[in-house]
Amino acid sequence: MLAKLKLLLRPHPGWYALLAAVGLALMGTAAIGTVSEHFASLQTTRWLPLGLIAVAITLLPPPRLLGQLSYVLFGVAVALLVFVVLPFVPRSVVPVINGATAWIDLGFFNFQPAEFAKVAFILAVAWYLRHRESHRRRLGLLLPFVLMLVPVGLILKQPDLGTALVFAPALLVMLVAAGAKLRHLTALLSVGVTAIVINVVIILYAPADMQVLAPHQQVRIKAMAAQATGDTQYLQNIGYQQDKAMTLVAAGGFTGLGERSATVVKYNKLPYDYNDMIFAVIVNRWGLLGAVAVFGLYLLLIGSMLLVAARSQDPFGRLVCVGFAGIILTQAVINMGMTVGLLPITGITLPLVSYGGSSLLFTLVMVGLVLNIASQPRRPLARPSFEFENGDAIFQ
Amino acid sequence: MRRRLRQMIPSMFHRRLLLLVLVAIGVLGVLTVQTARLTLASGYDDRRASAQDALFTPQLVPTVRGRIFDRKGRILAEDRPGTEVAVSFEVISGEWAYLQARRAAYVDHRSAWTGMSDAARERLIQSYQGPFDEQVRRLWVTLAEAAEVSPEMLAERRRDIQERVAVLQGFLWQRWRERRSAELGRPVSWDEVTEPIAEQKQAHAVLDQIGPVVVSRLRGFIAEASGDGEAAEALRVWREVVVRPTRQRVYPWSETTVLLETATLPEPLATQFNNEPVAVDVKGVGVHLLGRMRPVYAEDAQRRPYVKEDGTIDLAGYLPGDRVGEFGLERTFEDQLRGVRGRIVRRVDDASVSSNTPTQAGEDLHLTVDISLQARIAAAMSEEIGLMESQGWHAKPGEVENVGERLNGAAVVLEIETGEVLAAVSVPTMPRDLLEREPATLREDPIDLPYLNRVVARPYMPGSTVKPLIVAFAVSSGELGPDEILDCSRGYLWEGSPNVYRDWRVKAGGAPFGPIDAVEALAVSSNTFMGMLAYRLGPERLSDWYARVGLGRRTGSGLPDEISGTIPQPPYRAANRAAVERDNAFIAIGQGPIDWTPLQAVHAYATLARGGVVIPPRFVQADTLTPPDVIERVPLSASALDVALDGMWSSANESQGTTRHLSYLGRAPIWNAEGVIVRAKSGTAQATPLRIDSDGDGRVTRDDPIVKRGNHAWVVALVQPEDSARPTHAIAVVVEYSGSGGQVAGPIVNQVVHAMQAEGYLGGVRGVVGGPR
Repeated sequence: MLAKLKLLLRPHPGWYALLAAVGLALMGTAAIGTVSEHFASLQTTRWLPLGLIAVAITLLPPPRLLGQLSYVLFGVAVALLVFVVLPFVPRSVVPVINGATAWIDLGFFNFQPAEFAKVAFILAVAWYLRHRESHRRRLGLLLPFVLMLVPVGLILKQPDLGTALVFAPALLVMLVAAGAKLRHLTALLSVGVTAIVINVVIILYAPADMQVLAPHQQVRIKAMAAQATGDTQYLQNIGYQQDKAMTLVAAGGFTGLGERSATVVKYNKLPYDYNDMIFAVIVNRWGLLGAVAVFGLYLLLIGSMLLVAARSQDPFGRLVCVGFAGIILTQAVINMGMTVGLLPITGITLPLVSYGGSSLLFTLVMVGLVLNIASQPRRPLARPSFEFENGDAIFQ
Repeated sequence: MRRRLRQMIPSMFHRRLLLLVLVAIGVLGVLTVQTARLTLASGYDDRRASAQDALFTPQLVPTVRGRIFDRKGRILAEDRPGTEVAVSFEVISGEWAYLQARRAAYVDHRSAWTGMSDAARERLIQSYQGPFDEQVRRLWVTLAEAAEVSPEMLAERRRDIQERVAVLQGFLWQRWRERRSAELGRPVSWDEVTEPIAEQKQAHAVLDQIGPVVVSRLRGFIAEASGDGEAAEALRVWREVVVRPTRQRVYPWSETTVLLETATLPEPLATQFNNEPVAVDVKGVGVHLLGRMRPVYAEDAQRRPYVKEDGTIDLAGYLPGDRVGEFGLERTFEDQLRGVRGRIVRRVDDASVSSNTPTQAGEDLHLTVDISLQARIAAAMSEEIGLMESQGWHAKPGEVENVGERLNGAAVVLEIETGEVLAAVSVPTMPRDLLEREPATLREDPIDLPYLNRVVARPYMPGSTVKPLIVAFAVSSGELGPDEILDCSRGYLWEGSPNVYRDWRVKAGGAPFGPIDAVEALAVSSNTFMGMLAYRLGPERLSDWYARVGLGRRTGSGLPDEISGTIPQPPYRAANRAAVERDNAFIAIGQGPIDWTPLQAVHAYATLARGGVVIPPRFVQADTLTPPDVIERVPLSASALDVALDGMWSSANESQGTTRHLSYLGRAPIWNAEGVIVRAKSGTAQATPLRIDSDGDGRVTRDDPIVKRGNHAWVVALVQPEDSARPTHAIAVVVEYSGSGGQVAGPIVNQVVHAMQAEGYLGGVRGVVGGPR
């Protein structure tokens, strides 16, 4: 037991990840405090302690056990996702919040199965890919993508486009790390990008009867294009949130408004300022410096997670770390990208920073698992993994 | 390059990790650049400013609408500060009790709430609703008692508000749906737009003009309700009540009492009152002229929006809750009277004032009308006196079918020198309380049309009242010598048509007038004489003359509902010249395709009396209106004026005159005012019987019943004090579907003269009149 604790506490890059995570969470709490004392105190007295307990718990199981359980966990996640979209589930259990059935009411806490599904998905994919070579063939890529489409489809059904969006980049990142052929991935990526471009072109230029996306999604794209060209027609409705977010970001300037920010944010009436739009509050309060600090902390977070992956000799552990880094960064980039007007608005939290139980809890679970992997003892003569180009010439 | 990388980092996994780190740095770099642009670049200065702008809240300060004065400085309309009681729409609609019951039920059964079925929840809510219903009931009772109004009246007020909001809601939802559907490019269901409208979230006034005692009592309830504890809970509904200051538009002279001498009335009426003065309560004095205020409509906001299209703010623009002049002078001078609201901008955090635009009170309006004279004339024309009631002596014995029926009409007095209207009465009047309470009864009366200002908004055929003008036109054109005698001994105009166009005396079985001059022709009101003049003048010149004295166009008096009237429009086709000439002969006696309003009548007569100088009639004193750049002149000759005035004098004063005596009341004189010279001309204009659309098919046809028949009775007079060299005032009275001009309208004009004398005009000394109420 003591030996285990000693192993856990030994210095390794995982600690930097935890440091960055705590840093982001503290910054987030301060930002939430700017707009709502109530949510800030809930975050510090309830969700952060709960998250840190979760970190402690996730340090315990050996990664191999998690791997063996990963398919089961993924199955449970899918089952929960199915449960929330079932039409006959009573609304007292699965309430409609902001138009989506994304939460299960546990009484003390609204649990969001999609957040759990993210973790389970990464674990399952990592477990699946750990000894495989099939993903270096075109057809072999198919199965991981099918695996991804199950939760993504269910989450889109809720509907929660934002959360669904982060799965594909995470899978892509894991495939890159797992040694899939870059030209296959590039081809896939270009197909995806082309699809997006075609969609945007259709929305902006094609007649109404040729549209593919749902009207409310079309309008968001149009609103963004309108904003970029200085057209104000959407500002009062669909473009309102993004416009207000960008306004508050701009108002932050280099060093931010400091204490005054609370009033400015309040009277600019930014919706969801304590969760999805928290980055706007951060920049408003601490300016470009605050933004750079957030970017830096994220870079530190995912950098150290990747460093853990680099140092790990266990292929499952490696891919888990890469997957978590990928999913956290994707989510952060989408969130901040929409706040600064680079991406259309969609409901997605800023990991570790936004207010929110499930999101914070499961992001900290990811950090905990990375710590766990980092604390595994190095084994001499471990088999190299994902070294396809130089064969078995190199042993790590 | 690749080889060197492989040498440096032999592990492919590590190289891939490096790739991922580089991508991450790149993506975060893009975010950094964009954030830096937003926060630092000058292109986003407007965003920075707009974020700061949100810190300033503007507060609007209501302005005061301008007052309206009469010519003697009496206040006819003003904003009077008052207090009103408003109740939230939830309470008015009855929804409040349910919502409160629901809230209370939820508080008590919070844990079980989500597990309950909808039906069980509704049952639970119902069990809580009783006390809240009782609170609401008691609220209405208390309000009714406090304000001393009947509970029924209050209930009606509530119904009105609900109805109005429902109509507005239907309208708005429809518009939202259309707009949203246009935005999305697909049909939109009602569910997507049925959000509460602003009016459903507001408090609505249920009582106004409440006194200070009631105010303090109601404030007591509200204060008690805002506390904690059971007592406050039992008064919870009072949290939905607001007692707030308002500005009410008041019209002090709308109702007044006039002491009317009856000795000067035609004998049968005077006898009724024993020749004693009577106190007459007159309602709706000057309401047609002043107008009324109504709530703001969408069109007002479109005409003058508070936020203009370019985003700037017009403080005089319209906002919900504003009041707008609905008709009359309140409407015409809306922009001047309205004023500009003030705006104080404060910072939200420290309440410091950053800008303060003071209010600009509306401009005052000074009318030419003498409200006291207006009230006296209205009193004389009121129901009580009997002048505006069908009497047996209004026409030949046996010809009046509807004795005792109320008559409608108008009277107007114009000061000749200035064109100022001293009084303009339209009967039936609009009592202001009725107008506020049930405007529909006034607006939707298809027979009496009380809403109509008959002085300016209803055209009447002039009949013989045009004859002095015709004589003046003919003399001025050189078509008739001032003393020229025309032979009217045939008694009718067209040879071979003895029944078509004849003189009234011939029609009545009497002798033709014989050879007569213009003065005599006017005195006896000869048709054939005018018919001959019509042929001399010709249709083009006659139309032209009519137009010059103001027929066929609006006088520009400033009343919004003024109409233009009709005159024949040349050119005429040569092919039917003979028919045109025949029509023209009728037009010369005020029949056929010609009509005017009483205001146009006094305007034309005043123009004649001024020897051709045209001064547009007006209701508002000159400094308010811009005076015309060029004074128009009609080329009426001095001798023409003399002949016309002499003819009118003769008509009103010589025994043969048709406007001199009450023919069917023992030839008693019409005129009995001391010290006044009256020149007058009567007119009995044939009117098409009035039918109304009884079967509701939207058309009036011959199948529809006749509701009114008879002639429109006219007298137009030029009056002056005995010591004046020229006529000073023009008076016109028309009474619809009544009888003979001089018999019906004559005594009314006589009463107008008496009223003027009582008010100090025409050499009279001002007597005692009731004040405003």
